[in-house]
This record gives sequence, structure tokens and C-alpha cells, in this order.
Amino acid sequence: MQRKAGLYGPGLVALGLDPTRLILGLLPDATALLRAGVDALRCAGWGAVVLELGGNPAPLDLTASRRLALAAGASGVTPLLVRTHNARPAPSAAQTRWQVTTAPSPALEANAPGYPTLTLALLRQRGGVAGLDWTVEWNRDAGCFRPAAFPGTRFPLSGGRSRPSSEQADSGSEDAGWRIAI
Amino acid sequence: MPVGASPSESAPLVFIAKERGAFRLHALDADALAMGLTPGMPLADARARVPSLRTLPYDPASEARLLEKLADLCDRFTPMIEIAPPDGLLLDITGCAHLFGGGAALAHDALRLMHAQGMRTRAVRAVTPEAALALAQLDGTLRAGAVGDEATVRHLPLIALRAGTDALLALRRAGFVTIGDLADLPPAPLAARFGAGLVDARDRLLGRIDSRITPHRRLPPIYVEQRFAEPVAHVETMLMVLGDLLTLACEQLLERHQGGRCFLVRLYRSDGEMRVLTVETGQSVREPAGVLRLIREKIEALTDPLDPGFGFDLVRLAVPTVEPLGAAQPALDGDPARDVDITALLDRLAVRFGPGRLCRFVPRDTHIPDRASRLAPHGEKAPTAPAWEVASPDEPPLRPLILFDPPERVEAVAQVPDGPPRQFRWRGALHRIVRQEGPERIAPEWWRRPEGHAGNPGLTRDYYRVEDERGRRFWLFRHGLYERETAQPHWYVHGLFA
Repeated sequence: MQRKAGLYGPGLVALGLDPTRLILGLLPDATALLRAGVDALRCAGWGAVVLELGGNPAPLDLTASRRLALAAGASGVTPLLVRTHNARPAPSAAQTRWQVTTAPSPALEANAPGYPTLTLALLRQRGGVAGLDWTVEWNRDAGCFRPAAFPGTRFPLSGGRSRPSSEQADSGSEDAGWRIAI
Repeated sequence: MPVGASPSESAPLVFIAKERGAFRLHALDADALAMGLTPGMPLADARARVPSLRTLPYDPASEARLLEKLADLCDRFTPMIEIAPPDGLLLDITGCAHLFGGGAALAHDALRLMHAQGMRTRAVRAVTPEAALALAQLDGTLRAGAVGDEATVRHLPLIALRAGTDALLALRRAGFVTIGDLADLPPAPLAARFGAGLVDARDRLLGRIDSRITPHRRLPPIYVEQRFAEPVAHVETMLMVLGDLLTLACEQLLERHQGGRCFLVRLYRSDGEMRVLTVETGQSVREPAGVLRLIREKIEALTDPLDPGFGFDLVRLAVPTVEPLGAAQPALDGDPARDVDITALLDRLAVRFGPGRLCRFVPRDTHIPDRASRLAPHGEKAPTAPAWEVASPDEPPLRPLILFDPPERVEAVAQVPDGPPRQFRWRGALHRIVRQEGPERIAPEWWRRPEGHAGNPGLTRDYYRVEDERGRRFWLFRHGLYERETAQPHWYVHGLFA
């Protein structure tokens, strides 16, 4: 039996996303994934294109990320490259690099786990400040991130100072069109 | 299964099948026939006569496949082909013969094609398919491609009627030997004695009733082809011609207000080989450039490359699946090509990587988490799916973003009998639980289990949403109710929350 861990439709619904508007591409290797990613980014109809790559595959180099960035620049689609499984930061043509980790959530009644809480660390930004981090929680009903509601620890999330956070483009369900998560 | 231990390659070859408990000869090669063996003879007798006999088990399925392949090869002469098992092909060449220089020339071409495939065949033309088949199978005197007229049909034995054995016996007892004996009898007494079917069969054989074949492949609604006087040996040239054919086909589609969902390209090589390229699209299309691009993708993705050999002499394009498609009108506002772009992209990716690799989530009407969501491959017709269950406001996510299939076993410490978990070990790491909520009790779908109604409904699952001290959120469940369903319930992690 093959072990699989995959995106789960009801889980997407629970985050306020519409799974029927998501096209999932399961591609055989990193080369195919990057090629399909460039093709997808040339197409202006997407809300966002998410590419998920585990580890540190050889085809993902500066050239590959430059290709993605150029294709995205022409169409205006937001590309997100999600790297998992011990990925090392590599030179890349991306605008920003974020590190997303889970954070303890503010407990609900009866010590139940609360809303999805994440720590977003801006590791790098082209021509901008970096090294900032925010702890935010995802509000499904409003469709946006809010500063996590811990008593005493408030991180102001200053809107409009930098370009919109990539994760908002990822999770916001309001933008029209289709999506691909690869 | 006896497999021939052959003394030599040239020994007579027979195919054997088990009938009434004994192996009998089913089909024989020419050498075996010449030695006096006949179909239906027991294998033991045949071996006694010809000890060097080579035998192979008779495989009706592969015989049918071979016949189908030959029928597809004959496709170059006419699209109307009927397979007449066990060994006949009927071609309706009405209106096609002039393309090959007349019926006789067409028959010669067909014989040459079959010969290239290693077949020994007879070709006969006749007014009705029944007459042609009977003459080809029963009359060895006709020369190749001859036209069987009524006079030749009259010489055929009664078996040409394809009546049942009882009817044949009755006819023989009545003193009839050939079709000619029956030909001039009035139909009414004949029908009264032997049935109306026999009169019909006789009249069809003699060409008195019009009769048509039933083609084994449904004719595609749109069908264009290009023949070459000289074989084309370059794939690029062939693709150019294909582009023209696509333009023609798309014009026809436009006239019919339809679009194609499937495009079938058949490339006939001059040496008789044929290659089929099939391209399917997620939405009906009639834009030649887009389809041609898909075909190029298909050719690039072929595992064995397209080999023109000595050249293609016929390119045929069929659109077997069409759907209504109105005229495209760009929207007044914004981007006209937005959705079209995405469909074209998905078609291209599906051709390149296979349709199974592009999926969409489809909800299923069940409360079992594993089955609640399904991945439907690209191009699948979306049935009326139930809607996704919408969460109530202000509720944290109750279903994980990532689901494990199958769930992964963990070692958990929990209160007996049904307390929440305190800590668990998963993939070698210990997680101490600081927040938890549950249980959400999910009963098994007993109606899906064999014997599920009779005291074996499956184990209940108690799901807990838990969070460890570093803020990682898991979906755990206890498999089975303590002491009621199982003595020692196991714990599993089924998913991860964002």
C-alpha cells in the first residue's frame, strides 16, 4: 500500500477556500513541475499558481526561478513556490522569501485548539527590509489574516508598507478565477 | 495446456481447443490440411497420423483482436467495414472504388495489403454482403477481385444460406443441393415450410433484397482525409497537411455549431502500417491551431517516436466526439480569453503528462473522512456532486488541510476508557498535547462491509483535534471503543491542520 499525504478537500473548505476552483497537478518530477509551472504562469486566468517542491532538487536553480518570475511578470499571476522537506534556501529570482511555521493558537473554550495561527518570517525582500516576523491567525469568515489575539503580545501588521504578503494571495478566496496547486 | 514441443519449425501447425472433454483441432495451417487433418478431429488421432504436429492453444480473444486490427487496416479503403467472424471482413465500397481505379483495382490493393500482413485471403465483390461473404468462403474458383453475379451464387451449396443445422437438414431431405435449386421457387410455399427467414436469406444471397452492413466502428460525424500521390516522409510536412485538414474539420464544426471533444488522427504508411494519435480536450473546441498544438505535444510525448518509414500515403482526421458549441463572443468587459486560456493549458498539460495527473476535488456524500473528497481526473464529466459542507461562522477548522491515506499509526498515552490523548509519538518524535478538543465520534459505514449488518460493523473512530506545545495541530483518532469493540484500541494520526 502506498502511503500518501495530500491536500484534503473538506480541509480547504474549513479554511474558507473553494476546492472546486482548484486544479491539482501531480507531476512526476521536479523538471516536469517547473515546466508545467512556467506554462501555467503564462496563462493570465489563475488566481495564483502554487508549486510545491520537496527537498533540494537540482533542476530548481536560479535560471528556473528566473523563468518562473518572467512568466509571472508577463501575466500578472502570483506564483508561490512552496518548499518542504528540509529545503535549503537557494539563490532565487523571487521577490520575497518567507518562512512559515505554525504557532500555538489562542485557546478557545475548554482549552480547544483555536484558529490556524502561523508565524510568518520575511527572510528576504528585493530592495526592501527583511528580517521581520508576524504571528497571525487566519480568519476564515473575513478571509484574511489577523494579528494573533494573545493577551499582551500584539504584533502590528502594518498594511501597505511592503507589497501584499504572498500568503494572502495564496489563501484569499475572493480573487476570481481558477487556481492551480502543484 | 499442451504446448507444442516442435521437432522442426516447418512441421504442420494446428490450434487446438478443448471441446466435450477432449482436445480437438480448431484451426489448421495449409501443411496440416494437406496431410488430411480436418478441423474438429481429436488431437490424439491427429498426433497418431502426424507425430511431428506442432500445437498451440486456440485463443479466440486474440483471434478477434487480429481480425479487428486487419479491419482497421482496411479502413484506408472505406470507413464502412463489418467484421464477419471467424475469418471474414466485409467492406462496403459503394462510392469509394473510383478512388482506387475501380473495384477490381481496389480488391487487388486489399489483397496486397493483406499479403503484406502475412494473410492468405480471397477477395470477392458482389451486390450484397451476404453473397460476397458466401462466395469468398465457399467458392474457390473465382479469380481475385472477381464480381460474383447471380449465376455464380446459384452454384453455391446450401450452407451459404447460414441457416441452422435443422433447417439445412430439412432442405437436404427435401432434395435441394444448391442455391440454384431454391432460386426460382415461389416464396410463399418455401416460407410456409422452412420459415420466412430462409426466403430472406435466399433473396439476399441472390441480390434481390437490398442489404447493408453494420460497420464495426461508428462513423465519426466529422471526417476528412488527404491522400498523397507520393508518400510524405517528413513529419513536419505531414503536420502541415494535418493543419489544413484541421481547418477543414473546424469549418464543418462551425457550420454545425459544434465543437470536438476528441480528435483522432490516423497515419497510414505506404507499407501498410498505421499509427493512431488521439487527442482529447477538456472542453469542446474548434480552433485548428490549438488542436494542432495538442497533436504536436502528443507526438513529442510518444514513447516510441513517429517513424514515417517510406512515407505516409494517407492522413485521415476524424472527430468522433462532438458537442454543441455556440459561436464565441468576447465579453464586453475584461479579458475574453481568460477561461479559454486555462482550458487550453489544461488540455496541453493533460496530453503531456496524462489526464490522471490533473485533478479536481469532487465532494462525496458520506461522513467517513477518507471518502468525503475524491480527486477527479481532468476531462471527466462532472456529475451532479453534492455541495461541500460549509462550516458555521466562528468555528475553527474541523477538518485537516493535509490528510494521510492510510492513517499513520502512533503510540499515544490516553485515559482509559475514552479520555483524550495526553501525548503521542509519531515518526519518532514525542508530541505533548497542550490543547485538545473531542471526541468527534464517527461510526463506520456498516452497509459497505460484507456481513456489516450481522454484528461486524467495523470500528468506531473517536477523532480529537489536538495541538502540541509548539503549535502543531494534528487530527488523531482512537480506532475502536475500549472494551466494547476492542481490547486495546490503537491510535492513528489522520491529518495535519494548518
